[in-house]
Amino acid sequence: MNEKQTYHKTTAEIEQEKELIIKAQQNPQDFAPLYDLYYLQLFNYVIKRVKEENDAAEITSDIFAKAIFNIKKYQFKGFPFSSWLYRIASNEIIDFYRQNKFDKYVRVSETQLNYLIDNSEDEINTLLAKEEKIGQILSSLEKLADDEQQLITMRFFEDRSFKEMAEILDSTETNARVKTHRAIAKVKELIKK
Amino acid sequence: MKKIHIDNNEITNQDALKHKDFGKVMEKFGKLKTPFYQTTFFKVGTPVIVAIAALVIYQLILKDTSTEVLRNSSYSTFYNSPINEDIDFEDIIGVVDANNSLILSTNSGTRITIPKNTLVDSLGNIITGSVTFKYREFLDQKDVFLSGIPMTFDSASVKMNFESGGMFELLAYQNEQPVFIAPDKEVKVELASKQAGDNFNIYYFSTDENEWIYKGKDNAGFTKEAIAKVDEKLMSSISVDSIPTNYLKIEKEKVAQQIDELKRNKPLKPSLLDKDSYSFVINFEYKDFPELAAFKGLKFQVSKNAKNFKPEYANEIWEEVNVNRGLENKEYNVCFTNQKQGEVCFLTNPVIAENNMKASEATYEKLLSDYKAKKDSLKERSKEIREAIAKRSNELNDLKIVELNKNAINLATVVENRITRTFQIANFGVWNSDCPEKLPSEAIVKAKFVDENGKEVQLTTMYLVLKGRNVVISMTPETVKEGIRFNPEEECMLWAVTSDRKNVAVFNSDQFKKIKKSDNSITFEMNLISSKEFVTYSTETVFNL
Repeated sequence: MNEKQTYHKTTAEIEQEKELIIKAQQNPQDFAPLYDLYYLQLFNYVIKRVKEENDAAEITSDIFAKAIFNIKKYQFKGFPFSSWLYRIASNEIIDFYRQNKFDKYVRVSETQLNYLIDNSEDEINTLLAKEEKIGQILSSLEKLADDEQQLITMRFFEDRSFKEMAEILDSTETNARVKTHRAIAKVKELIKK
Repeated sequence: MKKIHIDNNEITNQDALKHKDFGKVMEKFGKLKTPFYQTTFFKVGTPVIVAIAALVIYQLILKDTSTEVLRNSSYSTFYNSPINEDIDFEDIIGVVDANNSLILSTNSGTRITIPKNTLVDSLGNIITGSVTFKYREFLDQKDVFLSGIPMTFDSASVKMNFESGGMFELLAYQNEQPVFIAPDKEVKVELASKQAGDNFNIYYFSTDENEWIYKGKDNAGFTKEAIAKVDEKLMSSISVDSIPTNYLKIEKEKVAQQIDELKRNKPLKPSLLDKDSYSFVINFEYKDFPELAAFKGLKFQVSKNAKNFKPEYANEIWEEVNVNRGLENKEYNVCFTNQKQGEVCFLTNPVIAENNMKASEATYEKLLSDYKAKKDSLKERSKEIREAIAKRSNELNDLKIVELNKNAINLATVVENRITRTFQIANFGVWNSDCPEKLPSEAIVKAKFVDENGKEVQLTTMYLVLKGRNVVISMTPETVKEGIRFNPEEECMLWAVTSDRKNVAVFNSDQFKKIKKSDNSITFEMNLISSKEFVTYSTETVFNL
């Protein structure tokens, strides 16, 4: 699944979405079209961060329930509606781990890890023999702080642009770019050790 | 710690869709609903209903004009300066005429344009004639601090704090009665801001809801890249030589060191020998411990806190003795060495015999008076330097904006050293050009606050002020108790108000830089400045305290 498919929208699509939001603000039942529109994106965002499919399903329903509860407060600020939903999602995942003492979890495929290796260029590639790479990178990623892991997950495992990351994290594009580069630099440092 | 789990069997759309259930979402939403007795409607509604009932009765009994439009009879504000030193309003009197727009200019260069037939009275009638506009602006951290206006913003239940590109308050009165902007009209405010960035939105502070309402995108300002380019250009140009600033900064550092050194050597008040305690004399140079200069016939008395002292040490012949300052005031660690005992150390206090007290006290008074004179002189010098740095810094900021504005060909009104931020306002009140951002959480330290004499100070509201960006984050005593959260990569200061509101306590950015991310708790030595004096300082001067 690719969450990016519906993230970037044309002006007409944004206008259409605004109408849906206004309707949902007037009647919670009218949130259904927005639910249809964003269900897969949000489910996929959650399943990458929790181990059990059933937990992901529960969290996804909680995200939409909170979104309906807070929709009246939502104000259009030029960002896609999904960035608002992702922020609620991020908080819900934090709450999930706060309430359940599980180890935090990131689901990643080997292809996505290879994408990270390919895009980190130079050092990681030259530092390690091919067979060592994945194991080393996994253990380095596990040592990163939550926010650093979040950046790498978004950038490399979810293939998001810095602009999109900035909107979800409510930060600036430059900030997202700089922090991601720092996180990669940290991975490289950890590998060198 | 997060476990990274490799899973090559991705969850498919079909798998995901098995869990899709809008009915379940609505059921969860139902459970989230606030019970009626906890709703704002219930809490606020009852008095409102009573008020409306009273109003209806009033209308029926006393008035027969059923067509009146009910509006606020006065502007309500919920914010107060934390030190009772409000920023004054500038009164601008304008004559509103039915056929022409009215353009007003404030002292700072801000322009306010009121189109014709825009202002109405509380009944909704268009007004003309003389109107007094009350205007004040909050352009930097000190202004924001003094305003007491909350800078927090709730975004999807996440508490954010504003970085401000410039904020103002505009009110209007005719015959001392508030006037309003007609529902379908807008007033244009071209705010002469000091912030050059382009990362801001526009917000209105709703006094009804006590929160900020998003009103649109601010299109003014320059990109970070453009600002960096101009900074580079200015720094390399001969006319804006940065040497004076560097020289002043070195001077500031030097004077700060002299003040620290002086404080370390502050004369100690002589204490009387306790005849029941052990004491001894050491031949030592007063110049190594200038704070003891008033102690005529100085003796070291074994401290009540000394753990390692044994009376038989008095009978030993010692080959070497070392004295060092202890952790507490009037505490010295003395170490004796000989071959038999090795090294023995214990805490002592400096004392004098009664017959030396009078002479010692006289010397102490003189030394203390010299100390105070030296300290005052250094503090005066430090203030001069800070003001010079502040002046220079302001000049550089002005020059930067002048340079940036050379590229601003599309701006209709350019105040030479200000960035014009245009607001179309539909209400009088507080408007802000802002960028919401997450509260810092990169580091946290437990805090204790003392004054320069080490005495604990009681502080009320506290603010984390970011020097590099126009950000003022307020912290309640409860949040401070949990710990002060900050980002070590930002240049931070603490500004707080003492419980009597008479002083502003400042912890400067140089001291802040010394806090390590790994520090768990810190004693903040606050610089107390009287509130009245604080108000007279420019923001740049406060930054350089």
